[in-house]
Amino acid sequence: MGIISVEKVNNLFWLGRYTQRVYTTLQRYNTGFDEMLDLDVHFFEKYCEALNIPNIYTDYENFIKSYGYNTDNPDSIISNLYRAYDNALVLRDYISSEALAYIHLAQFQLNAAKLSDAPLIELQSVTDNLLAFWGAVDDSIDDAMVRNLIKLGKKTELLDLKLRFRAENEELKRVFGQLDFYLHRVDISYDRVAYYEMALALEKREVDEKTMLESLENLILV
Amino acid sequence: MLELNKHVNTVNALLARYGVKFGIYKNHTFKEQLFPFDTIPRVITHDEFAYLEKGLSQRVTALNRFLADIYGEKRILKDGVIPEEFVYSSSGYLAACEGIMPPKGVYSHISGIDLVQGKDSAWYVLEDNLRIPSGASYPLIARDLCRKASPSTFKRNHISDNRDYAALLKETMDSVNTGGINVILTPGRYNAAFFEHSYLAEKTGAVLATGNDLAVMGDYLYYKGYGGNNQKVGALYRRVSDEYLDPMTFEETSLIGVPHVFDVYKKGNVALLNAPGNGVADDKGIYYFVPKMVEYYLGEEAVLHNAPTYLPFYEEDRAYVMEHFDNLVIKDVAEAGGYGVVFGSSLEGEEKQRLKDLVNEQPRRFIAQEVIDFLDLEVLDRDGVVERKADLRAFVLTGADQVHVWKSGLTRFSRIEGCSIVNSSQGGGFKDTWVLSR
Amino acid sequence: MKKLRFLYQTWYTFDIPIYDHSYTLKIFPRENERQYIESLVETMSYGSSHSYSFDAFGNKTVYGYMGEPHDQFGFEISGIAVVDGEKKERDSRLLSLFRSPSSMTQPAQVLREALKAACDNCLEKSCYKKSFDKLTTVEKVMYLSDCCHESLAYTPEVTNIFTSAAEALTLGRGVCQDYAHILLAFLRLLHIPARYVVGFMSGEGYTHAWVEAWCDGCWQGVDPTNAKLIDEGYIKLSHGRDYNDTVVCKGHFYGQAKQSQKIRVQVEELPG
Repeated sequence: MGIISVEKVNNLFWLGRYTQRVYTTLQRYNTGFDEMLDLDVHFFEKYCEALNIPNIYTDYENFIKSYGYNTDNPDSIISNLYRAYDNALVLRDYISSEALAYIHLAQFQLNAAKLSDAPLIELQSVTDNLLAFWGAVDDSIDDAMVRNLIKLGKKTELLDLKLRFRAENEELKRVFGQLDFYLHRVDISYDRVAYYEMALALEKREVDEKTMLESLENLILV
Repeated sequence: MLELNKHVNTVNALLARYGVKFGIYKNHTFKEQLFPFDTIPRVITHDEFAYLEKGLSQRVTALNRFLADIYGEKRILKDGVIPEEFVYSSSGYLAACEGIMPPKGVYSHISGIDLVQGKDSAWYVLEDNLRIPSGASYPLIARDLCRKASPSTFKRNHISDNRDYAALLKETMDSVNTGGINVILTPGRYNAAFFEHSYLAEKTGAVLATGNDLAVMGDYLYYKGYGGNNQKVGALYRRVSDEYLDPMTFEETSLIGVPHVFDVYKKGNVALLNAPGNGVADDKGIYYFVPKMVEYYLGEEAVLHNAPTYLPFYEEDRAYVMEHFDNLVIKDVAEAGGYGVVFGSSLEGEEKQRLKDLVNEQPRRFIAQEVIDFLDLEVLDRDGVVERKADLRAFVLTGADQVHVWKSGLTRFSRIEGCSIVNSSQGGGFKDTWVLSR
Repeated sequence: MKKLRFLYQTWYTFDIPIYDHSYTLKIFPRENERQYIESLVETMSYGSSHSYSFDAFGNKTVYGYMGEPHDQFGFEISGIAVVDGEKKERDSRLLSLFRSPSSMTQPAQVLREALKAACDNCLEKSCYKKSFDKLTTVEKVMYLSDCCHESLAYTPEVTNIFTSAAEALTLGRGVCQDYAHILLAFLRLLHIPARYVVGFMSGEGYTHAWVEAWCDGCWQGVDPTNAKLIDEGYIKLSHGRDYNDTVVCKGHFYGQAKQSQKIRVQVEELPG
């Protein structure tokens, strides 16, 4: 294929970000679902604070429903999955119908979880389908630029979430290293000042989450 | 009973898996709907298809000749075969196309001809679609999935493989390509047929683009790559209608087109599939004249028949229409999508008189057709097998050197008993169309 | 024969910069049997890429694209035209099209009635003292041009570029574009091929519009706004079915800008 338009670059990057966001938040959600059964009913309050999303939830049951499946809640997992879908749908010719199908399936399973008594079973299928999607992307896309843009999006999102969940410096450094790897394998412009600020902060172990998140948001200019 | 029918749910689940949907606007909000699939195929025998193939390729050849003539010499008007007001009052006629010869002389590359079969088993052409007919992708992907769901069905019956559509389409694009890549231009994901646009791009290896991804620079059309890495476009299969294609020549407010694409097309520097201006040939009023075109351009009798049609424009026909109003279906040529179709018998008193008056006042605006007694097709309903009205959209691909009738087609059926409006936007479903290979 | 020096300038300014700007201009005087362009100079803010083309009616266009933000856009055309009033254009292409109603000249009831009245009153009203069907085609065109002239009071800014022939006639007021559209509608109702012409007229500071009608094998220009046949003081830029085919400057751009426009047209006769 060789040539990607500005809009498609944008779609690929955000496809990576949103699939990663769904995947990673789903892990947390699963943990939270378990804890809130009988261990810690306030889990969701800390969760919202960490993610810096408005805590609009009246109680843990409301959180389970609304944060999981409410399409009118912009922060919900389902809303993020639909955003991934929006980006994937316009990329069918790049990522293939086979890969796109896993996003459809993840949607069906997430909707099935909404109605289930034991949603973690269906949610496992959502995770499975996201992993299958990434596998299909890796396997079936010949164009390295296309693959790497999706991965750049994934690693950007992962670093974002790791920062929010206060990961250790070493772990942040590792994810930044992965981001760095893909950043230099795609031919797009990025903010060099933001890049060096992040690298330096990680090196000096002086990470301030807020500053770092800002730099990360400014890093990729697509 | 067909083995495949046991797997109807499997097939529909697979269709959902691959996102086989069409978009629809209801109360101003966009919704994606699955296109209901029925596993009982329409079966066309080998001999019957040979007849259809002959008739379809003849018809499309004549229509292409007509388009070249209308935007060129206009012999058919000078010879009085078609009254000129039918051409110049057609909303599909575009003066901007006057004098343009498209690359390799092809106007209608992808033609969708809508047919129905009567109870007498004769086929009738209901409508020609020469602008950008959609629908081929549905039987294309459905076949693939049916073969997965019920391999034995395809082992036992001798069915022509229809999965060559993408290859045929690519060949068609390549044959008129003026040098550059093939691009499919879509209005975007909120278009009713976006699935088809993206699926055909994937299967033909063409680049899927929106208007923003393309730009005219100087005498050529380019796909705007990231970082100024532009690539020349040689063939543009545009799924954007004529009026929105180029705001500098047509509808000035269009945001889904490409400014000046018409100028470079005119210079012969990009092929547009289908050519702009084709609407003049698939106008409901011009339809009446298609068998005459076949005779005029090809010197042959038309193999395929139109549904018996009357033109109120001609006094004799108008008198007939008034007299037999209840037995006819009246079509407003100005409208599309199955809304401007009225059965004379469905109107009463004042309403009927109003339409009669309108036909008398604006005879050019209407055609009247005998109501064809459709041969109903079997459809698998919740309660078992029922009979429903159905049509067939046959696809004819015309490239630089050949006319190819696709050995399949989109069979659409109404899900409502007795209803003959089969459009997907009106809740219809679809079937695969099998052409037997022997 | 007359030698005319012409100058045509248009300058647009935008209060905030616009970008992704595509434009098409139809600003080149035509060359034909009656009009020869001795010299032509074009000066333009073209931008990064532009090219030339011809539309379906043979009007030359220049089109281009300016991606970068800019707050001004304009062009200037100047040169010398030699006009021979003895000669007529004989291009018979598209006669059937020019005989058919166009979007702005649809034959509404008000037009049919006005035409019928004009034809009925011909014997007493026209200078020819004949009934309408006894007139030659040129006489019909001139008579209808006079009728059209009387049907409107010349009034700027009551109509706009979207006003149809029927609307202008109903209003009873308008400018050159409206006079031309009404006459076109009349002639086409009589199946006389007729086209809309844009050009310059000596002594007028704006572009002007008039009509050409197909009379016995050639095009006759007539100016219903001024109730006369066109003479050697008219320079033709372009023609088409109606206003829509002859728009001088078409643009498509992004940016919420207010635009203002300055136009200057000068035509002066040169000796011999």
